[in-house]
Amino acid sequence: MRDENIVAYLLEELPAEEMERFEDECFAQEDWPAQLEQAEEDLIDDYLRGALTPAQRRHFKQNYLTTDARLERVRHAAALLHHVAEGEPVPAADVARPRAGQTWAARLRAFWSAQRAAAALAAAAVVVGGVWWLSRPSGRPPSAELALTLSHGDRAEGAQAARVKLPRDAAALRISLALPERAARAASYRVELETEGGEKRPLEVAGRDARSVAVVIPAAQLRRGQYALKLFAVEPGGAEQRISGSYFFTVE
Amino acid sequence: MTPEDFARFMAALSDGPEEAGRRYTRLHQKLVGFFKLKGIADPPGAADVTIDRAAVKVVGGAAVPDVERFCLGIARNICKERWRRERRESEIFRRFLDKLDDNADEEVERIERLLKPCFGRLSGEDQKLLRAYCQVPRGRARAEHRRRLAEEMRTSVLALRMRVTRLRSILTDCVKKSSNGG
Repeated sequence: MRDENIVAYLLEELPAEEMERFEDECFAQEDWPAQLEQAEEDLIDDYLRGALTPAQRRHFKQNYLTTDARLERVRHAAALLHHVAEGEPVPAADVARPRAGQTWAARLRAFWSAQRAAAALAAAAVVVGGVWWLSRPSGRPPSAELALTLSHGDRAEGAQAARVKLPRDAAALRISLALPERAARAASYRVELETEGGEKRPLEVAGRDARSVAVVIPAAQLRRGQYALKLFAVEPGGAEQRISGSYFFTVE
Repeated sequence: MTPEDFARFMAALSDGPEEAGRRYTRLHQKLVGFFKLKGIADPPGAADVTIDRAAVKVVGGAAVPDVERFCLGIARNICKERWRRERRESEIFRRFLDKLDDNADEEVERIERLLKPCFGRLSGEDQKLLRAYCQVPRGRARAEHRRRLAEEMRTSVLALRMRVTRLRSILTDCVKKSSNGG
């Protein structure tokens, strides 16, 4: 059973006969499939984070949010996501069971990964980038990093843009966007990348905490030049509000 | 339903009382899952009603070759009845929706206030897991994040998801209890 099918069922995107067949298949199993609840949790989280497509969002509101019990689930999820987002980010290594015989290099990587998260929170319009050779987890491509704050000018007015030089083998540029005070309580965020030529591209939000939102841009999508990132706060109901100002950076 | 009727219904599930008991429990769990999936309030109560109705038919002499499928049919009808009833109360319902769209959703804030102490009662390890699990929000990044988390914890993604679902369920129950003054 694939999550996509479960989501299509919950959003009532399947024809009536397939909906019924789906239920029959679930019922025919020895035990009620636990995966259904997990996929439903993900669907609700995606809705709250503004990660559904416009059609899915519409179906969610029209076809899923149709009972009090489901509204209650959405509210509980919203409260949890907000609570979790207010805490400090937790590196994956921190959650792991302690491993016997972990090498010093692995411990060092875990340490750096925690430091990296802390630095991203503290920095303001400062390039902290470059390649973090020591911090990169083994087997994963290196990435350059930037921490940016919101600027209310525009490029024509000479707004300061942070500069970054992508190392030749960098796979991606990770950018931490410091949230302005008033925007810190949104349910989720959407980020848009604008090139010098005015081309706009949506970016996937790779993480967030109480004070920042992180995006990762594949290096292949970046040429030399100036870029602006625009941030949108997404409310639990799906309404979006542009956070005024932009985050500027220049790739050298 | 009288004890005699219930015994006749159990006999329709299986000839052996032990096997009938096992099938009854499984049937009830599936019905709870079904009603939960359909967003029906009080899924265990709705499952009881379904089995009661099925039992009345069976005891009344209806030919029911497959009791589980028969119960699924009744469960679908119960969903329709409940939805009709909820839609009749659509005025309240629309207000809920409006409230959900509201920037300052007081209800979410109220739940979060109750959630904080509940979250604090989880073990440190479980708190960290929930925070880490929810950090990477979507798409391929999320799948990769979960795979790495599972790897770090030396478990499978499936087991990881089940653990998170269980933790979320514990939190929901705790918030509901606190909400009812428990």
